[in-house]
Amino acid sequence: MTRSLIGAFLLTALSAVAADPSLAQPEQDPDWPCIQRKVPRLSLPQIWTGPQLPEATRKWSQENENADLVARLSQRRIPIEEAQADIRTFADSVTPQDDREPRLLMLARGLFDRMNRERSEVISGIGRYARKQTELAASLRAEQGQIDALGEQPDADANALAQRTDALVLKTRLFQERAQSLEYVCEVPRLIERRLYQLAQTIAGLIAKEK
Amino acid sequence: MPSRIMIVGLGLAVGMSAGSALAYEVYVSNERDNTMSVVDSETMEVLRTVEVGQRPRGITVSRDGRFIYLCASDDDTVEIIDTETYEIVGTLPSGPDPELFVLSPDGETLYVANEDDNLVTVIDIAGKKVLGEIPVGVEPEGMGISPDGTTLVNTSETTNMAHFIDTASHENTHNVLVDARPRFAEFMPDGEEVWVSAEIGGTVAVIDNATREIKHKIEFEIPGMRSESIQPVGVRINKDGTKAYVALGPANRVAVIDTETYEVEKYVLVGQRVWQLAFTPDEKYIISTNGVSNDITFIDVASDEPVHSVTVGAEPWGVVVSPK
Repeated sequence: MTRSLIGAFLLTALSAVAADPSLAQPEQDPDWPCIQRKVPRLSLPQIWTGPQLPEATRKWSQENENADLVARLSQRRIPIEEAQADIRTFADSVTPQDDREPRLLMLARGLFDRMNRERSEVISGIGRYARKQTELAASLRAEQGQIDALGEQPDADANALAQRTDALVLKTRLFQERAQSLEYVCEVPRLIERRLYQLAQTIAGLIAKEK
Repeated sequence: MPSRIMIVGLGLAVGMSAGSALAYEVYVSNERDNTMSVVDSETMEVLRTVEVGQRPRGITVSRDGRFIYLCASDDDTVEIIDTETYEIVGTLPSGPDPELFVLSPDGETLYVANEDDNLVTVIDIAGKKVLGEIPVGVEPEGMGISPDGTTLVNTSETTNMAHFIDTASHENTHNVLVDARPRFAEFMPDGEEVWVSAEIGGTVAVIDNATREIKHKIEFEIPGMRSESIQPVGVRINKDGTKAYVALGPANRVAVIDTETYEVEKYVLVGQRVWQLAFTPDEKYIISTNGVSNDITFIDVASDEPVHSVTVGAEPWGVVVSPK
Protein backbone atom coordinates (compact mmCIF):
# COMPACT_ATOMS: atom_id res chain seq x y z
CA MET A 1 0.00 0.00 0.00
CA THR A 2 2.63 2.48 1.11
CA ARG A 3 4.88 1.56 -1.77
CA SER A 4 2.20 1.96 -4.39
CA LEU A 5 1.33 5.32 -2.87
CA ILE A 6 4.94 6.40 -3.09
CA GLY A 7 4.98 5.12 -6.65
CA ALA A 8 2.01 7.32 -7.51
CA PHE A 9 3.59 10.23 -5.67
CA LEU A 10 6.84 9.77 -7.56
CA LEU A 11 5.05 9.41 -10.88
CA THR A 12 3.24 12.71 -10.33
CA ALA A 13 6.46 14.42 -9.32
CA LEU A 14 8.37 13.07 -12.30
CA SER A 15 5.67 13.88 -14.81
CA ALA A 16 6.72 17.50 -14.35
CA VAL A 17 9.93 16.56 -16.12
CA ALA A 18 8.11 14.72 -18.90
CA ALA A 19 5.88 17.76 -19.49
CA ASP A 20 8.89 19.98 -20.07
CA PRO A 21 7.63 22.31 -22.81
CA SER A 22 11.07 22.67 -24.32
CA LEU A 23 10.96 19.03 -25.49
CA ALA A 24 8.31 20.02 -28.00
CA GLN A 25 10.69 22.53 -29.60
CA PRO A 26 13.75 20.69 -30.91
CA GLU A 27 15.55 23.92 -31.79
CA GLN A 28 15.53 24.89 -28.13
CA ASP A 29 18.06 23.87 -25.49
CA PRO A 30 16.63 20.56 -24.21
CA ASP A 31 17.85 21.30 -20.68
CA TRP A 32 16.04 24.62 -20.51
CA PRO A 33 13.23 24.15 -17.99
CA CYS A 34 11.50 27.56 -18.01
CA ILE A 35 8.31 28.54 -19.84
CA GLN A 36 10.00 31.72 -21.03
CA ARG A 37 11.97 31.13 -24.19
CA LYS A 38 15.71 31.00 -23.54
CA VAL A 39 17.48 34.17 -24.65
CA PRO A 40 21.03 33.55 -23.34
CA ARG A 41 22.24 37.11 -23.79
CA LEU A 42 20.59 40.45 -24.18
CA SER A 43 21.32 42.75 -27.10
CA LEU A 44 21.92 46.42 -26.44
CA PRO A 45 18.99 47.63 -28.63
CA GLN A 46 16.60 45.70 -26.36
CA ILE A 47 17.18 48.18 -23.57
CA TRP A 48 18.83 51.20 -25.16
CA THR A 49 17.41 53.85 -27.52
CA GLY A 50 19.66 56.74 -26.54
CA PRO A 51 22.64 57.95 -28.58
CA GLN A 52 25.05 55.32 -29.85
CA LEU A 53 27.51 54.19 -27.17
CA PRO A 54 31.04 55.14 -28.27
CA GLU A 55 33.88 52.61 -28.18
CA ALA A 56 35.42 54.48 -25.24
CA THR A 57 32.49 53.50 -23.01
CA ARG A 58 33.83 49.92 -22.97
CA LYS A 59 36.40 51.14 -20.47
CA TRP A 60 33.72 51.86 -17.88
CA SER A 61 35.23 49.48 -15.35
CA GLN A 62 38.50 51.41 -15.32
CA GLU A 63 36.81 54.50 -13.95
CA ASN A 64 36.47 53.91 -10.24
CA GLU A 65 33.49 56.13 -9.63
CA ASN A 66 31.65 54.64 -12.58
CA ALA A 67 32.46 51.06 -11.62
CA ASP A 68 31.26 51.66 -8.05
CA LEU A 69 28.03 53.20 -9.24
CA VAL A 70 27.42 50.33 -11.69
CA ALA A 71 27.99 47.82 -8.88
CA ARG A 72 25.57 49.64 -6.59
CA LEU A 73 22.80 50.28 -9.10
CA SER A 74 22.76 46.72 -10.38
CA GLN A 75 21.92 45.29 -6.95
CA ARG A 76 18.29 44.24 -6.89
CA ARG A 77 17.98 44.82 -3.14
CA ILE A 78 18.23 48.57 -3.76
CA PRO A 79 14.72 49.80 -4.65
CA ILE A 80 14.50 50.92 -8.26
CA GLU A 81 13.27 54.40 -7.33
CA GLU A 82 16.35 54.85 -5.15
CA ALA A 83 18.65 53.66 -7.94
CA GLN A 84 16.98 56.02 -10.42
CA ALA A 85 17.40 58.92 -7.97
CA ASP A 86 21.08 57.97 -7.63
CA ILE A 87 21.49 58.29 -11.40
CA ARG A 88 19.97 61.77 -11.35
CA THR A 89 22.22 62.81 -8.46
CA PHE A 90 25.23 61.43 -10.33
CA ALA A 91 24.29 63.35 -13.51
CA ASP A 92 23.91 66.59 -11.54
CA SER A 93 27.31 66.09 -9.91
CA VAL A 94 29.23 65.85 -13.20
CA THR A 95 31.02 69.07 -14.15
CA PRO A 96 31.69 70.63 -16.54
CA GLN A 97 28.27 70.04 -18.09
CA ASP A 98 29.86 68.88 -21.37
CA ASP A 99 31.15 65.81 -19.57
CA ARG A 100 27.68 64.79 -18.51
CA GLU A 101 26.62 62.91 -21.64
CA PRO A 102 29.85 60.90 -22.06
CA ARG A 103 29.74 59.92 -18.40
CA LEU A 104 26.10 58.88 -18.62
CA LEU A 105 26.81 56.85 -21.76
CA MET A 106 29.62 55.13 -19.93
CA LEU A 107 27.24 54.36 -17.07
CA ALA A 108 24.72 52.89 -19.53
CA ARG A 109 27.41 50.64 -21.04
CA GLY A 110 28.59 49.58 -17.58
CA LEU A 111 25.10 48.63 -16.45
CA PHE A 112 24.42 46.76 -19.68
CA ASP A 113 27.69 44.79 -19.52
CA ARG A 114 27.44 43.92 -15.85
CA MET A 115 23.75 43.09 -15.67
CA ASN A 116 23.81 41.19 -18.96
CA ARG A 117 26.67 39.08 -17.62
CA GLU A 118 24.88 38.51 -14.34
CA ARG A 119 21.75 37.48 -16.26
CA SER A 120 23.75 35.05 -18.44
CA GLU A 121 25.24 33.50 -15.30
CA VAL A 122 21.77 33.02 -13.87
CA ILE A 123 20.68 31.36 -17.12
CA SER A 124 23.65 28.97 -17.02
CA GLY A 125 22.77 28.27 -13.39
CA ILE A 126 19.18 27.44 -14.35
CA GLY A 127 20.54 24.98 -16.93
CA ARG A 128 22.69 23.25 -14.30
CA TYR A 129 19.78 23.20 -11.86
CA ALA A 130 17.56 21.56 -14.46
CA ARG A 131 20.19 18.94 -15.32
CA LYS A 132 20.54 18.05 -11.62
CA GLN A 133 16.78 17.67 -11.40
CA THR A 134 16.78 15.29 -14.36
CA GLU A 135 19.57 13.24 -12.74
CA LEU A 136 17.74 13.23 -9.42
CA ALA A 137 14.56 12.07 -11.16
CA ALA A 138 16.47 9.17 -12.76
CA SER A 139 18.01 8.12 -9.43
CA LEU A 140 14.63 8.26 -7.69
CA ARG A 141 13.12 6.07 -10.38
CA ALA A 142 15.97 3.58 -10.02
CA GLU A 143 15.60 3.53 -6.23
CA GLN A 144 11.85 2.95 -6.54
CA GLY A 145 12.56 0.01 -8.85
CA GLN A 146 15.00 -1.53 -6.38
CA ILE A 147 12.61 -1.12 -3.45
CA ASP A 148 9.85 -2.77 -5.48
CA ALA A 149 12.13 -5.70 -6.34
CA LEU A 150 13.22 -6.05 -2.72
CA GLY A 151 9.65 -5.96 -1.45
CA GLU A 152 8.68 -8.85 -3.68
CA GLN A 153 11.25 -11.15 -2.09
CA PRO A 154 9.67 -13.37 0.58
CA ASP A 155 12.67 -13.08 2.97
CA ALA A 156 12.94 -9.26 2.64
CA ASP A 157 14.20 -7.42 5.72
CA ALA A 158 11.16 -5.36 6.70
CA ASN A 159 13.26 -2.86 8.66
CA ALA A 160 15.70 -2.19 5.83
CA LEU A 161 12.80 -1.87 3.40
CA ALA A 162 11.07 0.68 5.64
CA GLN A 163 14.29 2.67 6.00
CA ARG A 164 14.87 2.81 2.26
CA THR A 165 11.25 3.75 1.66
CA ASP A 166 11.49 6.59 4.17
CA ALA A 167 14.67 7.85 2.56
CA LEU A 168 13.00 7.77 -0.86
CA VAL A 169 10.00 9.76 0.42
CA LEU A 170 12.38 12.39 1.76
CA LYS A 171 14.34 12.61 -1.48
CA THR A 172 11.13 12.84 -3.49
CA ARG A 173 9.97 15.73 -1.32
CA LEU A 174 13.28 17.46 -1.94
CA PHE A 175 12.83 16.92 -5.65
CA GLN A 176 9.37 18.49 -5.53
CA GLU A 177 10.53 21.47 -3.54
CA ARG A 178 13.30 22.06 -6.04
CA ALA A 179 10.81 21.77 -8.91
CA GLN A 180 8.62 24.40 -7.25
CA SER A 181 11.47 26.82 -6.64
CA LEU A 182 12.45 26.48 -10.29
CA GLU A 183 9.40 28.56 -11.13
CA TYR A 184 10.84 31.41 -9.05
CA VAL A 185 14.37 30.92 -10.37
CA CYS A 186 13.02 31.21 -13.93
CA GLU A 187 11.75 34.69 -13.02
CA VAL A 188 15.22 36.02 -12.13
CA PRO A 189 16.44 36.75 -15.70
CA ARG A 190 13.38 38.85 -16.36
CA LEU A 191 13.77 40.70 -13.05
CA ILE A 192 17.30 41.66 -14.09
CA GLU A 193 16.06 42.59 -17.55
CA ARG A 194 13.30 44.77 -16.13
CA ARG A 195 15.69 46.59 -13.79
CA LEU A 196 18.26 47.14 -16.52
CA TYR A 197 15.59 48.58 -18.81
CA GLN A 198 14.32 50.94 -16.11
CA LEU A 199 17.84 52.18 -15.34
CA ALA A 200 18.71 52.57 -19.04
CA GLN A 201 15.48 54.50 -19.68
CA THR A 202 16.34 56.86 -16.83
CA ILE A 203 19.75 57.53 -18.34
CA ALA A 204 18.35 58.00 -21.85
CA GLY A 205 15.75 60.41 -20.42
CA LEU A 206 18.44 62.51 -18.74
CA ILE A 207 20.48 62.69 -21.95
CA ALA A 208 17.41 63.69 -23.96
CA LYS A 209 16.71 66.44 -21.41
CA GLU A 210 20.25 67.80 -21.75
CA LYS A 211 19.71 68.38 -25.45
CA MET B 1 -22.66 87.14 -10.00
CA PRO B 2 -24.22 86.10 -13.33
CA SER B 3 -20.75 86.23 -14.89
CA ARG B 4 -19.45 83.78 -12.26
CA ILE B 5 -22.19 81.37 -13.07
CA MET B 6 -21.39 81.74 -16.72
CA ILE B 7 -17.74 81.00 -16.12
CA VAL B 8 -18.54 77.94 -14.04
CA GLY B 9 -21.00 76.83 -16.68
CA LEU B 10 -18.42 77.35 -19.40
CA GLY B 11 -15.83 75.43 -17.42
CA LEU B 12 -18.21 72.51 -17.11
CA ALA B 13 -19.02 72.57 -20.79
CA VAL B 14 -15.34 72.63 -21.75
CA GLY B 15 -14.57 69.87 -19.25
CA MET B 16 -17.34 67.71 -20.62
CA SER B 17 -16.47 68.20 -24.25
CA ALA B 18 -12.82 67.41 -23.54
CA GLY B 19 -13.88 64.30 -21.62
CA SER B 20 -16.12 62.99 -24.37
CA ALA B 21 -13.72 63.71 -27.24
CA LEU B 22 -13.49 60.17 -28.50
CA ALA B 23 -12.37 58.75 -25.20
CA TYR B 24 -12.55 55.00 -25.26
CA GLU B 25 -11.96 52.56 -22.48
CA VAL B 26 -8.94 50.30 -22.87
CA TYR B 27 -9.23 46.95 -21.11
CA VAL B 28 -6.02 45.11 -20.25
CA SER B 29 -5.73 41.60 -18.80
CA ASN B 30 -2.88 41.27 -16.29
CA GLU B 31 -1.77 37.65 -16.33
CA ARG B 32 0.22 37.64 -13.10
CA ASP B 33 -1.92 39.50 -10.57
CA ASN B 34 -5.35 38.33 -11.75
CA THR B 35 -6.70 41.77 -12.53
CA MET B 36 -8.00 43.78 -15.44
CA SER B 37 -6.96 47.42 -15.82
CA VAL B 38 -9.37 49.95 -17.31
CA VAL B 39 -7.50 52.84 -18.96
CA ASP B 40 -8.93 56.02 -20.51
CA SER B 41 -7.65 56.35 -24.09
CA GLU B 42 -7.52 60.16 -23.98
CA THR B 43 -6.15 60.95 -20.52
CA MET B 44 -4.13 57.70 -20.69
CA GLU B 45 -4.74 57.13 -17.00
CA VAL B 46 -5.81 53.99 -15.20
CA LEU B 47 -9.48 54.49 -14.28
CA ARG B 48 -9.80 51.34 -12.22
CA THR B 49 -8.41 47.89 -11.54
CA VAL B 50 -10.88 45.00 -11.48
CA GLU B 51 -10.23 41.69 -9.70
CA VAL B 52 -10.86 38.81 -12.10
CA GLY B 53 -10.27 35.04 -12.30
CA GLN B 54 -6.94 33.29 -12.32
CA ARG B 55 -4.40 33.91 -15.07
CA PRO B 56 -6.41 36.27 -17.27
CA ARG B 57 -5.12 36.26 -20.86
CA GLY B 58 -7.38 36.54 -23.94
CA ILE B 59 -9.77 39.49 -23.73
CA THR B 60 -12.42 40.87 -26.06
CA VAL B 61 -15.53 43.01 -25.91
CA SER B 62 -19.07 42.57 -27.25
CA ARG B 63 -19.90 44.53 -30.41
CA ASP B 64 -22.12 46.93 -28.44
CA GLY B 65 -19.48 47.41 -25.74
CA ARG B 66 -21.74 46.17 -22.92
CA PHE B 67 -19.71 43.12 -21.93
CA ILE B 68 -16.08 42.13 -21.74
CA TYR B 69 -15.21 38.47 -22.29
CA LEU B 70 -12.07 37.36 -20.52
CA CYS B 71 -10.22 34.02 -20.57
CA ALA B 72 -9.48 33.10 -16.95
CA SER B 73 -7.11 30.36 -18.09
CA ASP B 74 -6.42 28.71 -14.73
CA ASP B 75 -10.10 28.77 -13.77
CA ASP B 76 -11.00 27.02 -17.04
CA THR B 77 -13.67 29.56 -17.82
CA VAL B 78 -14.48 32.69 -19.80
CA GLU B 79 -15.76 35.46 -17.55
CA ILE B 80 -18.37 38.00 -18.61
CA ILE B 81 -17.77 41.46 -17.14
CA ASP B 82 -20.38 44.22 -17.28
CA THR B 83 -18.71 47.41 -18.56
CA GLU B 84 -21.08 49.62 -16.53
CA THR B 85 -20.58 48.01 -13.13
CA TYR B 86 -17.28 46.20 -13.82
CA GLU B 87 -18.71 43.18 -12.06
CA ILE B 88 -18.41 39.63 -13.24
CA VAL B 89 -21.97 38.88 -14.24
CA GLY B 90 -21.53 35.39 -15.63
CA THR B 91 -19.29 32.84 -17.24
CA LEU B 92 -19.18 30.95 -20.51
CA PRO B 93 -18.40 27.21 -20.75
CA SER B 94 -15.01 27.52 -22.38
CA GLY B 95 -13.45 24.09 -21.90
CA PRO B 96 -10.09 23.69 -20.13
CA ASP B 97 -7.32 26.31 -20.17
CA PRO B 98 -8.79 28.89 -22.53
CA GLU B 99 -5.99 31.12 -23.75
CA LEU B 100 -7.17 33.15 -26.67
CA PHE B 101 -10.42 33.54 -28.55
CA VAL B 102 -12.10 35.44 -31.33
CA LEU B 103 -15.58 36.85 -31.59
CA SER B 104 -17.58 36.24 -34.78
CA PRO B 105 -18.22 39.41 -36.82
CA ASP B 106 -21.90 39.34 -35.79
CA GLY B 107 -20.83 39.14 -32.15
CA GLU B 108 -22.93 36.05 -31.43
CA THR B 109 -20.35 33.28 -31.36
CA LEU B 110 -17.09 33.00 -29.49
CA TYR B 111 -14.37 30.63 -30.73
CA VAL B 112 -12.01 29.63 -27.93
CA ALA B 113 -8.60 27.94 -28.20
CA ASN B 114 -8.18 25.39 -25.41
CA GLU B 115 -4.45 25.04 -24.98
CA ASP B 116 -4.51 21.85 -22.90
CA ASP B 117 -6.84 19.60 -24.86
CA ASN B 118 -6.14 20.52 -28.48
CA LEU B 119 -9.63 21.75 -29.21
CA VAL B 120 -11.36 24.86 -30.40
CA THR B 121 -14.61 25.31 -28.48
CA VAL B 122 -17.49 27.09 -30.22
CA ILE B 123 -19.75 28.96 -27.80
CA ASP B 124 -23.15 30.50 -28.36
CA ILE B 125 -22.89 33.63 -26.22
CA ALA B 126 -26.61 34.36 -25.76
CA GLY B 127 -27.42 30.77 -24.80
CA LYS B 128 -24.12 30.32 -22.91
CA LYS B 129 -23.78 26.88 -24.41
CA VAL B 130 -21.20 24.91 -26.36
CA LEU B 131 -22.16 24.52 -30.01
CA GLY B 132 -19.21 22.33 -30.92
CA GLU B 133 -15.67 21.23 -30.28
CA ILE B 134 -13.23 21.13 -33.17
CA PRO B 135 -10.08 19.02 -32.84
CA VAL B 136 -6.97 20.90 -33.96
CA GLY B 137 -3.18 20.61 -33.52
CA VAL B 138 -1.24 20.48 -30.28
CA GLU B 139 -1.51 23.57 -28.05
CA PRO B 140 -3.94 25.70 -30.03
CA GLU B 141 -3.51 29.39 -29.52
CA GLY B 142 -3.93 32.06 -32.20
CA MET B 143 -7.46 32.69 -33.46
CA GLY B 144 -8.49 34.76 -36.45
CA ILE B 145 -11.81 35.01 -38.25
CA SER B 146 -12.52 36.17 -41.79
CA PRO B 147 -14.51 39.42 -42.06
CA ASP B 148 -17.48 37.50 -43.50
CA GLY B 149 -17.34 35.06 -40.59
CA THR B 150 -17.13 31.94 -42.75
CA THR B 151 -13.52 30.96 -42.06
CA LEU B 152 -11.79 30.56 -38.75
CA VAL B 153 -8.03 30.18 -38.52
CA ASN B 154 -6.50 28.60 -35.46
CA THR B 155 -2.77 28.19 -34.95
CA SER B 156 -1.25 25.34 -32.96
CA GLU B 157 1.93 26.17 -31.09
CA THR B 158 3.51 22.71 -31.19
CA THR B 159 2.18 21.33 -34.48
CA ASN B 160 3.28 24.60 -36.13
CA MET B 161 0.19 24.85 -38.30
CA ALA B 162 -2.51 27.29 -39.23
CA HIS B 163 -5.76 25.29 -39.30
CA PHE B 164 -8.50 26.64 -41.57
CA ILE B 165 -11.95 25.82 -40.24
CA ASP B 166 -15.28 26.21 -42.02
CA THR B 167 -17.50 27.90 -39.43
CA ALA B 168 -20.69 26.45 -40.93
CA SER B 169 -19.65 22.80 -40.79
CA HIS B 170 -17.00 23.09 -38.04
CA GLU B 171 -14.73 21.08 -40.34
CA ASN B 172 -11.00 21.63 -40.45
CA THR B 173 -10.57 22.03 -44.22
CA HIS B 174 -6.91 23.06 -44.68
CA ASN B 175 -3.71 22.92 -42.65
CA VAL B 176 -0.85 25.22 -43.55
CA LEU B 177 2.59 24.53 -42.09
CA VAL B 178 4.19 27.72 -40.78
CA ASP B 179 7.33 28.47 -38.75
CA ALA B 180 7.85 27.37 -35.17
CA ARG B 181 5.34 28.29 -32.48
CA PRO B 182 2.65 30.19 -34.35
CA ARG B 183 0.96 32.59 -31.97
CA PHE B 184 -1.57 34.75 -33.73
CA ALA B 185 -3.73 34.91 -36.86
CA GLU B 186 -5.14 38.11 -38.33
CA PHE B 187 -7.19 38.48 -41.51
CA MET B 188 -6.85 41.39 -43.90
CA PRO B 189 -10.06 43.47 -43.89
CA ASP B 190 -10.86 42.26 -47.45
CA GLY B 191 -10.44 38.64 -46.31
CA GLU B 192 -7.87 37.83 -49.00
CA GLU B 193 -4.92 37.18 -46.71
CA VAL B 194 -4.29 35.79 -43.23
CA TRP B 195 -1.17 36.88 -41.40
CA VAL B 196 0.24 34.30 -38.98
CA SER B 197 3.06 35.14 -36.58
CA ALA B 198 5.62 32.52 -35.50
CA GLU B 199 7.25 33.31 -32.17
CA ILE B 200 10.25 30.99 -32.38
CA GLY B 201 10.52 31.06 -36.16
CA GLY B 202 10.73 34.84 -35.93
CA THR B 203 8.53 35.36 -39.00
CA VAL B 204 5.05 36.31 -40.13
CA ALA B 205 3.58 34.11 -42.84
CA VAL B 206 1.16 35.78 -45.24
CA ILE B 207 -1.29 33.09 -46.35
CA ASP B 208 -3.46 33.51 -49.43
CA ASN B 209 -7.00 32.74 -48.27
CA ALA B 210 -8.07 31.60 -51.76
CA THR B 211 -5.32 29.04 -52.33
CA ARG B 212 -4.50 28.47 -48.62
CA GLU B 213 -0.83 28.70 -49.44
CA ILE B 214 1.90 30.92 -48.09
CA LYS B 215 2.46 33.74 -50.57
CA HIS B 216 5.06 35.66 -48.57
CA LYS B 217 7.08 35.40 -45.40
CA ILE B 218 8.03 38.53 -43.50
CA GLU B 219 11.31 38.51 -41.64
CA PHE B 220 12.58 41.00 -39.10
CA GLU B 221 16.01 42.41 -38.57
CA ILE B 222 16.99 45.01 -36.02
CA PRO B 223 20.60 46.23 -36.10
CA GLY B 224 22.56 44.91 -33.12
CA MET B 225 19.73 42.62 -32.00
CA ARG B 226 20.21 38.87 -31.70
CA SER B 227 17.68 37.03 -33.83
CA GLU B 228 16.43 34.93 -30.89
CA SER B 229 15.23 38.13 -29.22
CA ILE B 230 12.88 38.88 -32.10
CA GLN B 231 9.71 36.91 -31.35
CA PRO B 232 6.61 37.99 -33.31
CA VAL B 233 3.36 37.55 -31.38
CA GLY B 234 0.35 39.91 -31.70
CA VAL B 235 -0.63 41.18 -35.17
CA ARG B 236 -3.13 43.90 -36.07
CA ILE B 237 -4.02 45.37 -39.48
CA ASN B 238 -5.77 48.72 -39.90
CA LYS B 239 -9.28 49.03 -41.36
CA ASP B 240 -8.21 50.06 -44.85
CA GLY B 241 -5.67 47.25 -44.94
CA THR B 242 -2.63 49.41 -45.65
CA LYS B 243 -0.60 48.99 -42.47
CA ALA B 244 0.13 46.06 -40.21
CA TYR B 245 1.58 46.14 -36.72
CA VAL B 246 3.45 43.18 -35.25
CA ALA B 247 4.45 42.90 -31.59
CA LEU B 248 7.99 41.48 -31.37
CA GLY B 249 8.12 40.12 -27.79
CA PRO B 250 11.51 40.57 -26.08
CA ALA B 251 12.78 42.77 -28.94
CA ASN B 252 10.64 45.33 -27.07
CA ARG B 253 9.44 46.78 -30.35
CA VAL B 254 6.42 46.87 -32.59
CA ALA B 255 7.13 46.50 -36.32
CA VAL B 256 5.12 48.66 -38.70
CA ILE B 257 4.66 46.97 -42.07
CA ASP B 258 3.48 48.25 -45.43
CA THR B 259 0.95 45.58 -46.48
CA GLU B 260 1.52 46.34 -50.17
CA THR B 261 5.27 45.70 -50.20
CA TYR B 262 5.51 43.61 -46.98
CA GLU B 263 8.44 45.82 -46.01
CA VAL B 264 9.00 46.78 -42.39
CA GLU B 265 8.87 50.57 -42.36
CA LYS B 266 9.69 51.13 -38.73
CA TYR B 267 10.44 49.48 -35.43
CA VAL B 268 8.82 51.33 -32.53
CA LEU B 269 10.36 50.83 -29.09
CA VAL B 270 7.54 50.44 -26.57
CA GLY B 271 8.29 48.37 -23.45
CA GLN B 272 9.57 44.96 -22.46
CA ARG B 273 8.10 41.73 -23.91
CA VAL B 274 5.51 43.20 -26.24
CA TRP B 275 2.66 40.74 -26.44
CA GLN B 276 -0.68 41.87 -27.89
CA LEU B 277 -1.99 44.93 -29.71
CA ALA B 278 -5.30 46.74 -30.15
CA PHE B 279 -6.38 49.78 -32.14
CA THR B 280 -8.70 52.41 -30.76
CA PRO B 281 -11.86 52.34 -32.98
CA ASP B 282 -10.91 55.69 -34.56
CA GLU B 283 -7.41 54.24 -35.25
CA LYS B 284 -5.77 57.24 -33.65
CA TYR B 285 -3.73 54.92 -31.46
CA ILE B 286 -2.59 51.35 -31.39
CA ILE B 287 -1.87 50.08 -27.88
CA SER B 288 0.67 47.42 -26.94
CA THR B 289 0.86 45.31 -23.78
CA ASN B 290 4.39 45.04 -22.39
CA GLY B 291 4.53 42.02 -20.09
CA VAL B 292 7.91 42.52 -18.43
CA SER B 293 7.86 46.30 -17.94
CA ASN B 294 4.24 46.00 -16.65
CA ASP B 295 2.92 48.77 -18.84
CA ILE B 296 0.99 49.50 -22.01
CA THR B 297 2.18 51.91 -24.70
CA PHE B 298 0.05 54.17 -26.88
CA ILE B 299 1.52 54.49 -30.38
CA ASP B 300 0.25 57.39 -32.48
CA VAL B 301 -0.87 55.72 -35.73
CA ALA B 302 -0.37 58.82 -37.93
CA SER B 303 3.29 59.24 -36.95
CA ASP B 304 4.02 55.74 -35.60
CA GLU B 305 5.68 57.35 -32.60
CA PRO B 306 5.19 56.02 -29.08
CA VAL B 307 3.37 58.77 -27.21
CA HIS B 308 2.86 57.47 -23.71
CA SER B 309 3.33 54.39 -21.53
CA VAL B 310 1.01 53.66 -18.63
CA THR B 311 1.85 51.29 -15.78
CA VAL B 312 -0.93 48.72 -15.33
CA GLY B 313 -1.03 45.43 -13.36
CA ALA B 314 1.53 42.63 -13.26
CA GLU B 315 2.37 41.13 -16.64
CA PRO B 316 -0.16 42.74 -18.96
CA TRP B 317 -1.11 40.17 -21.62
CA GLY B 318 -4.19 41.02 -23.70
CA VAL B 319 -5.80 44.31 -24.68
CA VAL B 320 -9.09 45.39 -26.23
CA VAL B 321 -10.70 48.79 -26.64
CA SER B 322 -14.39 49.61 -26.14
CA PRO B 323 -16.19 50.19 -29.46
CA LYS B 324 -17.72 53.47 -28.26
